[in-house]
Amino acid sequence: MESFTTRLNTFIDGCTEDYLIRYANKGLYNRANKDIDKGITVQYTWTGQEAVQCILSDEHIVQLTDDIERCTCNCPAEQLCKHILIAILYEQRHHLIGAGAGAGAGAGAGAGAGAGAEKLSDASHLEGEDEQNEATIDIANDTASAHQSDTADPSERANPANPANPANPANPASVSNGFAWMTDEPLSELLSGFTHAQLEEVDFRLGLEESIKVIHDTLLTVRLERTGVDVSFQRDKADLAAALCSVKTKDAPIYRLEALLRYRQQHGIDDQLSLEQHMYMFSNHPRVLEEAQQLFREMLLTGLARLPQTVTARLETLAITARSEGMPNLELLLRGIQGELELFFARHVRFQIGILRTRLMEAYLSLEAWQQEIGAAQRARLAGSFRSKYYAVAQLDLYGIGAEPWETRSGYRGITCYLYSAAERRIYTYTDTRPVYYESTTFNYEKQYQQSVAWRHALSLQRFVRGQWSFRMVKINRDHRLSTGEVGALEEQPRQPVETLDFASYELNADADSMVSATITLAIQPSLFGENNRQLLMLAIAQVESIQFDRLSQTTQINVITEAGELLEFTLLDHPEWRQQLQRVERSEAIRKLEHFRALVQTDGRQFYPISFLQEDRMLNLLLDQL
Amino acid sequence: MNPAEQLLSELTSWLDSVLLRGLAQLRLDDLPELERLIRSAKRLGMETLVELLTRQAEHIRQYTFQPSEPEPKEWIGNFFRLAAYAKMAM
Repeated sequence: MESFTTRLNTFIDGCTEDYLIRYANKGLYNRANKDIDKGITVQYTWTGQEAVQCILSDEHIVQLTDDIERCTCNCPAEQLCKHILIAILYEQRHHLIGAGAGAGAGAGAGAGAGAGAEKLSDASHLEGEDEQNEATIDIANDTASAHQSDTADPSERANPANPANPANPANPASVSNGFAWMTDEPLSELLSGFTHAQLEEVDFRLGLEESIKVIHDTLLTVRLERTGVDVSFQRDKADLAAALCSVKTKDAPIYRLEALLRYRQQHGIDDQLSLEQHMYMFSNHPRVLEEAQQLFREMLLTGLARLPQTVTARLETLAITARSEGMPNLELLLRGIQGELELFFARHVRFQIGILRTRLMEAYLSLEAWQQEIGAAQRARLAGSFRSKYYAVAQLDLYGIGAEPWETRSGYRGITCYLYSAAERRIYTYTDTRPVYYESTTFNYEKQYQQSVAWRHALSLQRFVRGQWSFRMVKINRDHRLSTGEVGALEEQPRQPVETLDFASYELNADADSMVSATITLAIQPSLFGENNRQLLMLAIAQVESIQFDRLSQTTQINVITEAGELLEFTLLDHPEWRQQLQRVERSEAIRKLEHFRALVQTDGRQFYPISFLQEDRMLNLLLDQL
Repeated sequence: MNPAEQLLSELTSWLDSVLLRGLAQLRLDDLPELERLIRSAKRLGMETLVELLTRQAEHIRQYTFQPSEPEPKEWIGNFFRLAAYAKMAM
């Protein structure tokens, strides 16, 4: 380790304006300089304990050492104060500390206290041979060292043309060299201080829209433009913890890593795989997997007819274990199987063996897939560890496009609002839902449609879905669901006509010969896992041809002609809750007369289920709005 | 119902009856029904399904002659793959 003197000088030289402003703030820096300009002076004394005592003329006392975090001051300020800055800046101007000696305590006390010396560079003031030798060695080291500050004339050093000036690009020890670590350092070294949760959050943020600006100064600053955060990396300090972040909250480590990774990305480095490897914390084969697979084997071999009812208890235990091992997808599958089995044992009319077969199949095959040689990220996706994590995004602009009511077999009811992000070309959802399998809870769709959204009391779902909104610091998850927690603020924007929006992949290719065949061959992957693999589409419709109720299929059909001239059939499934509304749809002249509008529909590859019709700034949610 | 839909419907019926009875209950006299499905699948050119069903038939033959077969993992895996096929084809 270099002598304290050298380290201290290196430190003081490193306290450039750029660094100090980013570490503290501009105001503090300017005030410190002003005070010096107004005549404050500092007297420096070695303490012999790797610190220099600085007595300011306003009677504040600062202890300077080679680490800014460990500098102290006797004023009440908790963090870096103006006085510490003054001690540093004054030294930069006057160079009073110099190539001084690490004086012994006794000698130091005598020489220092007595002299209140302005110049401490003369080692001969010290008594004791050891100290003297040490001082000599220090001086020798200093002059021998490549460190420029000891040798060059201070005023010359600041000259930008001086090759010794670090900011001069011609300086071989220039910006790019000092910061080569940012691209050259192996990622695992840099990630060592991070928790899995933090890495997951960074991975999530890397998937968001963001651009960076790189500012070269004595520090290399990466500005995350949309987030509005600056992260400044220090020369030759390959440590993320040493980077300065303009945001000083507990999110700072996240921003530091995000900034570094985006910088590396810009330099052509793809860290995704390494990041994923560090992110996921699954032990290779959690025991719950083996046990669940074993149970499924037994169930299939024995057959439902001969299954003991105790199997539901085993499923319950496994579901709880799955949850605790961070595998929500497996937990859901297990509970789904358990639920269906309970219907079976009760000889309940709602039992459907096909559903049980499919759930068992999904569970069994996903467990098999887990045991293959798949990457950490795929394991995590199988496990479903993302779904419950929500992250705040600085800004999100959304355009409401439709809302629909729904009910699941497992006894949940809800209303889902769909909102479009033009910037990301992606649909987000906001869902209000409640389990209704308890007798005491009900979910009345009409009433819930008028209930307020999470972020504003007077704003109903109905009003929300037909608006255009700018969100700040709202929480979303990887499935692009908005959190129902109250975090975030929203501001209404004037609603632009739907025709001015580009719905990208949600619009079917207008060149396709037939929209129907295009739909079927579309990216509707035959889905192995997950029921109801449905895709949302925004279709351009020319007119409504007819509306009728089909008694055979018990569905309400709206026949439309698309702008491309093709006939399509929209299907609304019958449901006791919405029967009246469906009758109103069937009788509605307003719908019949619609021309040149957009339709938000869901499709499973065979049928189109309409959610809403949109025209200019207006919206009609077929199952929820008044007709 | 077109022939393909017919076949898929028969397939799911077969799968469900096995699920109810238990895989271990399958015997040689369950083979004719399976072989009928294989023939239909062949006629319709559904190669993957033919392969899966043929394997299932082999497993049944094997099990019948060697009931002490320790861990019929492959057999079970094959059954669930048939179920997966049925789901994806729907």
